[in-house]
Amino acid sequence: MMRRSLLVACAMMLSQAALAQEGVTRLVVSFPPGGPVDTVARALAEQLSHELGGTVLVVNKPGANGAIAAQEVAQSKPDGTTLWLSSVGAVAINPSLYPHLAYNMARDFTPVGRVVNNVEVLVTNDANPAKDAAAFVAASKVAKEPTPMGSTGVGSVPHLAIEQLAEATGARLLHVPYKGAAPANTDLLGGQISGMFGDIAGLVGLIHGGKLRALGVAAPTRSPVLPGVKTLAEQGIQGVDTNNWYGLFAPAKTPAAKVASLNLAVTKALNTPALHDKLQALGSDPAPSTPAELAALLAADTAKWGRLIKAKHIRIQ
Amino acid sequence: MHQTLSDLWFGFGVALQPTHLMWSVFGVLVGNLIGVLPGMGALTTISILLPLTYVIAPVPAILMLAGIFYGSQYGGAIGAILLNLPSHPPHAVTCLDGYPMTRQGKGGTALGITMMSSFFAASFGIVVMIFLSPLLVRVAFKFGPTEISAIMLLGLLAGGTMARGSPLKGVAMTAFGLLCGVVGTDVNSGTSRFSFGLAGLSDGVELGALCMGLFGVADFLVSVGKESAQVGHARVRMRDMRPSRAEIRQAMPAMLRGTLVGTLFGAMPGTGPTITTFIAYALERRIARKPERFGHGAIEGVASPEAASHSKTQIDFIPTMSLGIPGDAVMALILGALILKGIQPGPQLITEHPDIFWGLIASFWIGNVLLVLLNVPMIGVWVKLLQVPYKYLFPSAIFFICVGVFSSHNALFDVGMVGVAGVIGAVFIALDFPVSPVVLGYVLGPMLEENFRRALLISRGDLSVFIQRPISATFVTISALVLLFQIVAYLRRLRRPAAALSSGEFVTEE
Repeated sequence: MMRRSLLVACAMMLSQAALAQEGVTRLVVSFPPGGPVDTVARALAEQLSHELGGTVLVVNKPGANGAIAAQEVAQSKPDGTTLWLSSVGAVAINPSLYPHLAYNMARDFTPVGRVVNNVEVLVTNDANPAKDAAAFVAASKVAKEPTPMGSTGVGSVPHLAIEQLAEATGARLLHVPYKGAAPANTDLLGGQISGMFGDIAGLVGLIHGGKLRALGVAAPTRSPVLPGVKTLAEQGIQGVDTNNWYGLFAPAKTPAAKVASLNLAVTKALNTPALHDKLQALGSDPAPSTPAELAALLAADTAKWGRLIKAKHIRIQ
Repeated sequence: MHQTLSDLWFGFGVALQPTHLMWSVFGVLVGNLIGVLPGMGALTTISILLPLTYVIAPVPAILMLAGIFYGSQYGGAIGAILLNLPSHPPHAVTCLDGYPMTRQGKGGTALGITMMSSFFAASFGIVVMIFLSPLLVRVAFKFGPTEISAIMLLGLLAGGTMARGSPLKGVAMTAFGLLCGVVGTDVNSGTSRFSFGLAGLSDGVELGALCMGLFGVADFLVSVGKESAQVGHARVRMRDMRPSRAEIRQAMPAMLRGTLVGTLFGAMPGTGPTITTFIAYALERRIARKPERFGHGAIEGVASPEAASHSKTQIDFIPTMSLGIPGDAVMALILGALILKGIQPGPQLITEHPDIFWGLIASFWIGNVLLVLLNVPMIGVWVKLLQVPYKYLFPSAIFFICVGVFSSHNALFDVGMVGVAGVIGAVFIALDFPVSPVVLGYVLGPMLEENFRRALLISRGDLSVFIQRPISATFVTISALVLLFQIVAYLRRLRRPAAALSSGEFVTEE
């Protein structure tokens, strides 16, 4: 076992040389090592190696909000050995956000299958008097200044969730963008901002540790990771529906049979108890799907976020 | 207190278990070697070795990863001192005096002082981590965008003293650094600035590429073909490697001050290690009796930033371990590894997994002892490296730079960036412009801008917030005093120009 993993490590070092090598599948991630998508990718790669009977390498191609990874995959040989694991942002939000995107989801990619669902949870720090989402919203309406809420950047899912919440309830919220989740978490703990939406995966430790209070889950159903936290809909707030899902995409001309066999392997991997439990412990909800289901989800989310971005005049030059 | 000591005892028990110790040794060894290679960072190494952790238990896994992290820091200084190649950006400032020392044949001494400072500062950081974690976490939360921008303002002013020679050139270089820092996506609007439509620039200029280019590659381009470029010396005697007693006495106070700077910056989340080392250096130069020695092989200029970098590194583990909020990308990766092992980082980690928390702390210290034992005998070997003919040494260094810079983002674009930075740096050096303020401007400027705008966003545009909050008010006041002091000094110098020139007052050094 040990020897095997040493071999895998060596294979990683030679990853660039091994591109054309038989039996190596590249899992391209548009984020640097250590981020939530990368963590899911590495967990998946380990199990997928067993299912595919070959090595699955995680290749980090960060930059340009996912466009660098997207182009890398789009230009790869469409033989099923290069896959893109992307969160919802690069595939369903950025097309509406950026006027000149270097890739086109419909033209350049074919969906393989969804991997996990990541719903957003609304949190505040333990000093905030609000015990639920309704109280948080009510407080924002009577406060002198709009309530500052952090996000992981302009056009990120947490940002769009803030816009949805403001639209649904008329809450007076001030969007404060950060470079990623860590500085936003720190400022929320320090009381510089009053609340934020974030993937459950990144917040579950601070919630269980009693530093942050979960006010509501922004999804139709409660999360298995935080079963005690009510959904926003249960608290009478409709229309805040976020899912920062991660899905696998292959280059457009990948043969349908190849896509089907990859989908089967991914589904099998996600249904393995070891991986299932691991992902759930991360705070992500394993959610395999067929390629057609992912295509439908992509279309629905692209339309949903596109509408919101247009209505709220969120623009990026 | 008693509880802490018994926890620590327990931690040493965990860390000294043979398998744990073995992985820890493996980690520091790999980290140390990787750190020496120009351009290879801890992030790349850890992501390559991550699959190894799948098959070993959580405790040895994290001990190994942490070992790689701080091991690479020890290695990073070696390239900076001997070859002017800062393989890790925080060490860029060490080049300023470490490399001149090498050229004077005192490379071994510089390395010896570095090891001493690193070990002392790391040990101090570990003690702070053990006894003051809860306090530091509370302090950290007091630093919001307002406070951080006030500190950055002071840092930028203090950085003005870094440059040697013409003050105008120093300011120009800082401004150039600020411009480099502006490139990339603006966090407040999401707009891509000065990226010229290049996807590779949309996340900004890569700090590692900038440092490698401006220091190592530029120096290479300027000195290539020149006889004087030969840094190697006919004989390297063991006697020259050990710092003399006088040198240690000289370095000691600088080491202490550097450690304190590192500790202070460690308490402030979001201030990177590069800023810390630059501030430590600037402070050293500012209070030195003869600041003109700096840049020509002042031993304090090596001891202080190296100490600062190591205490900062250790203390940076506090938010990572006690809150589960990663301080930087490497920490995020280490936390990711823990998560993959089914361990959720967060405030509950200390109580739920005391073996990880206390074992890690104990292994920090064991690892640092190992690194000293490993590196002190190696100093001779590293210095011998300089005897490799220049025509082989530098091309191979460039090769490693390319590999290293490529591997950090898997992007060929970044390799090109090193080349461009190298050419720009060579032009600057040829025109006698100092390059270090570029790096300072690069790291401080974007942070000042980001936090300043965020502070004003939260205060709804009310500038008085900077003097209403006590911490920020303190720093703003100090900044104002620094400015006032400079102006007074300048006016006084105008009145008696001849005297100031001959007495070598610090103002002439600006």
